[in-house]
Amino acid sequence: MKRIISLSTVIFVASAILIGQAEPPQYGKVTPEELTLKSYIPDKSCEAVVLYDIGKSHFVYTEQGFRLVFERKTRIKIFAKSGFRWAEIEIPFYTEGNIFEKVSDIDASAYNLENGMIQQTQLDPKQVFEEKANEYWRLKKLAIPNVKEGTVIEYKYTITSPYMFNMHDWKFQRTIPTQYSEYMVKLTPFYEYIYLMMGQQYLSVKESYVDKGLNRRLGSMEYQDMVYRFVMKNVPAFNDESFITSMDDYIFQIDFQLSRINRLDGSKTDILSTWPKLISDLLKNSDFGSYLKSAEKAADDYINPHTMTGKSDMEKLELLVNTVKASFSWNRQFDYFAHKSIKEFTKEKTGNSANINLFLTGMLNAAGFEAYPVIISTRDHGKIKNDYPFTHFFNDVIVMVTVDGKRILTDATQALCPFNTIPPWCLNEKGLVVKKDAEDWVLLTNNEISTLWHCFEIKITPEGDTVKGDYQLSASHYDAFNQRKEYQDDTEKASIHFLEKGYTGIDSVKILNFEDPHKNYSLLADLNHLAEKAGDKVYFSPFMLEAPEENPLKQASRLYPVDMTYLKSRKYTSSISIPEGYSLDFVPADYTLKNNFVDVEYSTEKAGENFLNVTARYEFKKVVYEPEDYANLRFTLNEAIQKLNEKVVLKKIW
Amino acid sequence: MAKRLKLSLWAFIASLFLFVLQAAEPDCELLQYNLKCKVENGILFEEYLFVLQINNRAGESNARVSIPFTKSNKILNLKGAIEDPYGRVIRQLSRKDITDVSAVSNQAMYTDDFVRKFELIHNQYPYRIRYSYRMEFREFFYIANWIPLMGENIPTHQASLTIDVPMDYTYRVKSKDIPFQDTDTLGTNVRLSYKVKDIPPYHSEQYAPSPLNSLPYVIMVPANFRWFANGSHATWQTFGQWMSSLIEGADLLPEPEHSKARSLVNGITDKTEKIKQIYAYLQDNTRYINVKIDVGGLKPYPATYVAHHKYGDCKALSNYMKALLKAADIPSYYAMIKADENPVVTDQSFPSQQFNHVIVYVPLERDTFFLECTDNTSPFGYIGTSKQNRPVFIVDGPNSHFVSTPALTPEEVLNTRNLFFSVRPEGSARLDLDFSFRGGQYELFDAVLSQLSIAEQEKFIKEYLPAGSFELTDWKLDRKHRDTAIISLTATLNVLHAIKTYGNDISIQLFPVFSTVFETPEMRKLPVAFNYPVYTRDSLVFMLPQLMQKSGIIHEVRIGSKYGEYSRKAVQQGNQVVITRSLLLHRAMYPLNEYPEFYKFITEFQQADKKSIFITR
Repeated sequence: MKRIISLSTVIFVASAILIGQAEPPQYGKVTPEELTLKSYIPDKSCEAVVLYDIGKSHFVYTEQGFRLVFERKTRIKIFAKSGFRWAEIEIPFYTEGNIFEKVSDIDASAYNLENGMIQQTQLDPKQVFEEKANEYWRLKKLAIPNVKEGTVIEYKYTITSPYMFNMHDWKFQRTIPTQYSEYMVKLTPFYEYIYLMMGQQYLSVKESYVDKGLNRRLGSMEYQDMVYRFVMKNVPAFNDESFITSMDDYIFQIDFQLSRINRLDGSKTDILSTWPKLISDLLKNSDFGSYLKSAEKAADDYINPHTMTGKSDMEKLELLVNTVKASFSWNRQFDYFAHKSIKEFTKEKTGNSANINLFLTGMLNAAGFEAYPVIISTRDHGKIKNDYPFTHFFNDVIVMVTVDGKRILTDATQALCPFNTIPPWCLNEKGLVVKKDAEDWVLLTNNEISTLWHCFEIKITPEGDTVKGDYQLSASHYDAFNQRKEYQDDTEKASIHFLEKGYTGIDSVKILNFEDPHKNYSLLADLNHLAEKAGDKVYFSPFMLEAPEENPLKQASRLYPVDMTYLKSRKYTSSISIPEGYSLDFVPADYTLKNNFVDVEYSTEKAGENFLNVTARYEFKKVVYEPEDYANLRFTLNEAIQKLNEKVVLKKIW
Repeated sequence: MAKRLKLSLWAFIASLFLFVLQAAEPDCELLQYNLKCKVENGILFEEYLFVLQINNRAGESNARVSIPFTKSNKILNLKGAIEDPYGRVIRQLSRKDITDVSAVSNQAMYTDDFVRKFELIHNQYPYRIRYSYRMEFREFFYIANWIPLMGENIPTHQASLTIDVPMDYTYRVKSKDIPFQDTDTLGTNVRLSYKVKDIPPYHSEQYAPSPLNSLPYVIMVPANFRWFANGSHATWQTFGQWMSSLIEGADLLPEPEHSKARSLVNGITDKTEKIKQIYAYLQDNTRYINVKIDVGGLKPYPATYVAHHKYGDCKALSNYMKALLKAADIPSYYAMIKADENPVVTDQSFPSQQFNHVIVYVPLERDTFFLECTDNTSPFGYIGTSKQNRPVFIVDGPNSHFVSTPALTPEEVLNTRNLFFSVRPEGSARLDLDFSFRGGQYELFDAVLSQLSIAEQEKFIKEYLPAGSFELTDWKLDRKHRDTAIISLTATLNVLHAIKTYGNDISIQLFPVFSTVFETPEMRKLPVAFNYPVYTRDSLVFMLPQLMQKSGIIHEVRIGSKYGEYSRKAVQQGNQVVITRSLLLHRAMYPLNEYPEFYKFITEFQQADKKSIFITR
């Protein structure tokens, strides 16, 4: 599905232009058929449909040199009120000091049928507003006037950019269906690009040819543009799903990256050619390589030789990672470039992930370790495609250090993570080790199973109206990290959590091992809740109110993989003492289901006359489940949840 | 049994009480908040100083500061620093740490307001942050509108306010729970001083009145002001005169629209019907888009603007509606209201700008209509949870006055839910359900219906339906008529485990009728406010596959008090079990000292509601 091709390797030869290609719709010529359209046949329930979306990127030569021009025109049919949001347009553009992108030729209209006549309402140019989204990005904002159910809207705009890097990408797919989507790129021989494409097999046109007409001229050189054209038709709406990494990993799109600049004098600059080159550029960069070097020097102040003596390498590593965690706090920004200089960082004690982790790398090297930065993409930033060396794949940096021949990954932004563990949002396939003259990828996956273990010792009051339990939740690995983040060492917060679950008595709430992220995190409490009493029978769940109520997988079917982030196991053990005067009337049946997806086990055992032990467990065997496994996974999970909610019945005998 | 329950509850209360007592220091504390206001030559100068202590990482969000400003009201002289707990400076705020961005609101598509942002974050706790700045206002409504608190869960240690005005300056002032220090004469100025110490933090609580109703404040308005036009806060009539001057002439319609309005009512004699026609025209041809520029906060775009763009904010659309009605010879009024489901009470004794929304008021001889003009799907005359039962300021020059919107009745908020389970031998069931929503639930589903795509609606319904494992096989959201404030949800589900079997017994557990978890009496700090009633009636029918012997009433509970009524009843008729359930909670305010009794009622019916219904074969 995610095949990648390169443009820079395409030879400058015209391919046959597709025959029978309908004329692209003309801007401003909305048809009566489009206006009377009542619904879009392939997706009758959609609130709007993109009738066409046509983009073109090309180069113009100006006094200041080449400018990259992006033109877009779009026509959308709106069926329902919920589709009105498509008539509010935002055009982002980039500015940096005196060099900025320019948005021009904005035009927009609404078309309505009034008494059988097509009525056009044009946007008042004064009603285009500019918003400053952040330091670099601005937005042109406009609302197309006179939009009702049935309206066809049409708009166009042009962005002129001095940034050859910012070749506009193109999304063929939106959250509403698209009838026709076309992107045309006209390249000069001076800037070469490569592209990545998602949904290549759905292209109905993919062609390239030498532009027709008179030759263009720059200096003494005559040339023709090379035209690339991509068309998709009848693209279905993209519906976001839960348990995916990032929508950008799946939506149909094409993304261009500058790969080489060819100058008139024959000189060339490779922007990106190989991973080792990318690495060497990073190492030369002042916010990466130079920062790393100064970190190595500055880090000396943070290494106390006395505390290091007599320690094993692993213990030293732990000490150093924890020193960085304790000395600096993360400002919640991901980047692989340090935003602050070493001086500012050590003075202000806060910084982005690069400030912290590059500092740690330098410090480890200063202490004699072999440590390297690893640039990665966090889960919501999408996946890295390692066939093409693009920096934009990455948004974060962590550290790899070799101890006793073993590679250890660490991230000093998270105080609640063990020193040799990276946080869950970093678990995204692989990262690139930034090491001179090498291309070394390291897997970020974690094969350890994270467990949530619920333990109960249960007593029923002699009256049979209250279930009292000594409860202990023990969480390991990533589940421990998540619990630590959620409850910290705040017993009050934990108590409120129990109160909200419906316990009527909550006492002796304790949290163990909050401070030491290597240990299992434990939450202990004495809990009460009301038993169900009916006649001479008492009904209660062996797992009190802790069994999950519902299956998180709600969709009947699924198009994209289910990504669980890490391996998970859920265990429940309960020891129930049967009060005097009662006997067991009903005990849930044992149950085992093992398949390639999930293991489910449920068993009960009588221990002597007065005790019943119930144990249950379910375990996800994979981190990623393919869509074809979805139905099975969902079914198995339903079974597990059902078993966990079963009740034990006691009967009063005297 | 009741006795035991009480005991365990008390044990629980005691233990929680301990938590409160032992509660660690707050994440953040406001050590100092000083505001100096000064009116000089008609210009208002404000000087702010904040000193906060950040005690841990959880309090760090308060070290990320955003200060709103506009093109005409700039922030001057901004200074900031991080200090250690003894007030020694660790680091000064530097210019490069400050960024200005556009203010983004989810109400407005565009606003020309900005926010100045900076962070004063340190990694050694506790630390202090101190920042100060100045602002100037050439046009203003308030000299001071001062609440000496920073936000939820943040105690204030010391706060002070001084207001300097010229000796002959006239103003109106009111305050709550803030000691007035004194009045000084400084040359030709008068200085009013207020000081307050140790204000405990406030927390949000279930069904509590808006905390803004109980927080301390000082509010001072000038007797006479200029905001686009000259105005006076002397009486509501003078305030209304000023508001009238802002909308004067804005209701002129361009010609085709004028004729359109007249043609819409042509041949209709009934006034209500005329208004309905025009309202439908407004709803079908305009939409809500808020573009807020300059005085956009209070002066509406004229009717010509809406006539062309077919959009506007509440002011522009209400003014346009008023213009359409005028063209049809129906007098109506621009009406201001505090719209909020849980509002700050409008102080009718203090004429000032206290509103956040505009609607249209149409008084007829026998009927009165309040028209919401920003909602394409609102039924004609629907008032709703955010506007019911409160004063509305009718803008009518020297005759400006207040009227009240009616309060929602139980019948108007009644939700009925009918569920029919055809249970299969292994315990799964086909469930056909039919829910009918009114009141707040109606408004929620109205938003779902009009703003979400079908795929999003389905996702929403799956999340909305009571927890459990099910497959949604078919569903439909429906509104019978545009002017009916009822939305129905009919759906068919395959429920995987509708009943549970224990040997010879069957148990049925219902989804909770009211799942809000209230604070225990020891934790509760605020009174209770049900701004409108809660009313639900459920009917659940289980067709069981097994042959059943018993018949008649197998279960019945009734719990009633001055706060409301709960009942549940199960009747077995052969293989069919019919469960009916109803809950009514009255619209009312209950003072804090009544909370234990209220809490007892709520927990009592919630516990009863949780119990399964058992059927013996």
